[in-house]
Amino acid sequence: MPEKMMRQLKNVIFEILEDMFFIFPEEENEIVLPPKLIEGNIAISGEERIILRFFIPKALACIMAENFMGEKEMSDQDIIEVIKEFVNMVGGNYVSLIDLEGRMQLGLPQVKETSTKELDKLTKVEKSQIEGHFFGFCMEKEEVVFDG
Amino acid sequence: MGFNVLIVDDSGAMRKVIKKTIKISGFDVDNFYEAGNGKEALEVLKDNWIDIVLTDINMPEMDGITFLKLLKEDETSQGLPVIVISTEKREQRVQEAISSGASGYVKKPFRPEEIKNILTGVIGEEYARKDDEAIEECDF
Repeated sequence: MPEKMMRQLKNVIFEILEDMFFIFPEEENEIVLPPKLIEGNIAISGEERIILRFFIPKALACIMAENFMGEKEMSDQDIIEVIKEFVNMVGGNYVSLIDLEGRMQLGLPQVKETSTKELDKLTKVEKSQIEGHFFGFCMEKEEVVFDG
Repeated sequence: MGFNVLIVDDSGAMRKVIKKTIKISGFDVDNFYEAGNGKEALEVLKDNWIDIVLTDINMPEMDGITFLKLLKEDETSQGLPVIVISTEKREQRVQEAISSGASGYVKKPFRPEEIKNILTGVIGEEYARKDDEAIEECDF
């Protein structure tokens, strides 16, 4: 994945985390990962298909949800919805940056629980620390094959 | 007497945040109605008097642009002001929304002032209280 694209994505992510969730990346220390993470993803389709994937521990997702909603004690459903919205905002802002002509289509955000081991299967995951928790993301590209 | 607002977004969290933003902006709202997509919004509109709609674009079942076009094609709802609130910042998408009949466009992430200013512009000053202090305390 071109470095420039990852840098652009990183800027978009951290801008949104700061503006809408009031959290900031910190200096990285040794972080113990929980066995499970929340994975959010969204596809951007055009001549090629780009999938943005985000890996967030539940504790951080909970902080994000509380800050976004301005409320305490979020339900699991609230947390899922907030992470979906986060993924949607990153996807929308990122596609606006890489596709000024509006040729690419933004998909719908998906959120699921995933094993932390999943991270080992991925070649390039950008890792950060936020509020003392792990935050990871990556970008995958697929060629789109048209039949007929 | 206040006005009735319909918020259309597939994210319940975002609907809540928009509702909160309108409340802290001091508007005189009688009722808030919510829908998770364009299809649900059309159902809400059948049974309720709505003065203004705030809609997302990227939604399942029926997206915001299709919903907007259907509203504007229908004689009974074509005068209803619709504000689009979307993560889409591309000019082509903004123009598509405006040419489909949107009265305004707010890009996410947004600041509460943006919602307040656009609502004031669309529905008029009479519904907006001059209560800027509350909004300064909150920044989404």
